[in-house]
Amino acid sequence: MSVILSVEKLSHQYKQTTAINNVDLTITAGECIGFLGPNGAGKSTLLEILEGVKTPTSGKVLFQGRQLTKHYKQQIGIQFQSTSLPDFLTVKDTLLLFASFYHTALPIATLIEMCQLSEVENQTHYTLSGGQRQRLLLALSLVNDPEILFLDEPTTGLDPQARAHFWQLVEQIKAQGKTIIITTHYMEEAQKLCDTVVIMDRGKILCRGAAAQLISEHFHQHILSIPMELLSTPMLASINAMANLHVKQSATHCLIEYNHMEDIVAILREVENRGITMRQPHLEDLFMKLTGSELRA
Amino acid sequence: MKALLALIQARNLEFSRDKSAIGWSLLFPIIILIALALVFDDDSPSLYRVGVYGPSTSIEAVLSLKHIDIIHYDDLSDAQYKVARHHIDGLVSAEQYWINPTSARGYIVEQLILAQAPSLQKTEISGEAVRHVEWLLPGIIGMNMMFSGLYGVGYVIVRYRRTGVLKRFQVTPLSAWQFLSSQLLSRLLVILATAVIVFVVICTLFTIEIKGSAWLLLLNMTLGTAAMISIGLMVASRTRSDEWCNGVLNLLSWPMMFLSGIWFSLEGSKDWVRLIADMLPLTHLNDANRAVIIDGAGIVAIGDHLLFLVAIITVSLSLASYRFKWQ
Repeated sequence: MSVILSVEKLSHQYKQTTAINNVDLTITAGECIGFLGPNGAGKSTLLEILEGVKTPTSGKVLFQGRQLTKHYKQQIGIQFQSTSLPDFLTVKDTLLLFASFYHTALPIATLIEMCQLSEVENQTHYTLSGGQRQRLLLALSLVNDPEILFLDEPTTGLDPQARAHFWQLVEQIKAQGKTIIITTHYMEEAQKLCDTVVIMDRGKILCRGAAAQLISEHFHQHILSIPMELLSTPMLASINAMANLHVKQSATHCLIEYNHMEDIVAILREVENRGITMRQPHLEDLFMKLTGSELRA
Repeated sequence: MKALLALIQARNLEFSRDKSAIGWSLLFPIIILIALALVFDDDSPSLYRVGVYGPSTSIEAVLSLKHIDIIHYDDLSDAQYKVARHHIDGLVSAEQYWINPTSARGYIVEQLILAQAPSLQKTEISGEAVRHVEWLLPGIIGMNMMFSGLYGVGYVIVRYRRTGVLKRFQVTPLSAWQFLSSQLLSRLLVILATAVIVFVVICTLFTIEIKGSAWLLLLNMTLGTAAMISIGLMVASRTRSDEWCNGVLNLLSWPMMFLSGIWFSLEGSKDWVRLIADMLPLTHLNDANRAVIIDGAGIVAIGDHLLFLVAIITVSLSLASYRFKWQ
């Protein structure tokens, strides 16, 4: 696949703060790439630079190998995390307005059908539910049939049902071969939608790859989670001394990474089988491991 | 009660921490009061207004009369027009005086002139006084255009910027120039349509006749409205603060309301007041409207007013485009 968007030695400074620190990145056409990071990691700044909203302090952004031009806005669609729209316009009016800004636009009926807005097409946008509103904002970002779609925390604040519904729509857009760049605080969202995950912190990219690949690179195959109150100090010392295990303690739990069941049989014999869980590591574990931060949705 | 007090306190904190809000709330009344005191500081207003044309040494006795406003004119025809329209009560020169026989105030002024300078030759100038409603109508319509133009676009753009509507527009291919033009034209159409309806209704109700060309009147109103909208666009070109925008718009609109001749004629007012009035677009809109409606003036006669409004539009729109910020 060809590279559609790339950045080279990109940095951005806000007075004393370095928001983006010498970042290199390539995004291939048709890829769905998700940016994760704690608040202040620099992902919003990076996204705004990629969208052409912000000019970086230094470095280059290239679209199909060339510097961004005015024409770039014709090729991209953006859904901001929160957007106000002109008052008193219906869903259909709003779509018609935004369609008029572009050289080419999808038929409004197609957008309404694609984003499942038929029932509300004649309602003013401020009467819509949270899910309907996000679908309208998605429709607005698709109005010019863009090559790259930017989604900035698109499901923040939605209930689980509306979020799942939104994910279905994004899956459909992905199936059309569009490049999707998404920022999110929801690990489940990134794991479900993104082909590639980028974890950022303090203006730098900490890792990049498919979620499953990154997890396997950073973790053993399984995690055993034992509440701390079940573990005596000598028991904890003996666990820490065991080979083939990676042990991490938090205030409430001891997390033991392992590859084979026989590596932890001795531990399971010693502790009460109460509150113990065995699971596979997921993206949130990776996020926590790399950034050391709590998630803040 | 606890909630009520907490809300009052919260709102007061909000207000006191908004520097532009508190600044304008305090400064604006003071500025207006000082301005009005300076403009209208005459505690013993004159009873009559008399024009003087040419050298006045031989008519010192007339000029020394108390309670009479003496207004000097360099242009005789302009001064005679003022007598004809009852804007002044009489006109004197070294050799003669001009009086409108249909003016009751003119009759009193004539008696005063003759008592002081009986050798002056009398010339009568005929002309009807402008009915108050005819004089007021162009001003009221102009004032409505001013408020709708300044506030109608100023507030909307600031709100769009504050709530992120402009940020969403910014990431589309829409240019600042297209956005500003759309605001100008949409508001212009609405204001003109409203003005035409109001104008027709008032003219019908009070049987007012437009003596000049209705198309010329429409052209003047179009330019006047566009000038007001352009100023509104310039003021709102980069701020996110409603309070700041409101303050500046008030600062612009209040002087226009008092000094552009909407409510009363500025004939005989101080030179510096006239100078300020001449720099206000509403003065030119009003004067040209009155000239077309009352005197049947043509495009040449109101050409200066039209050019002034075009200049205001050009400068304000250029500054608005240059300074415009989406966020």
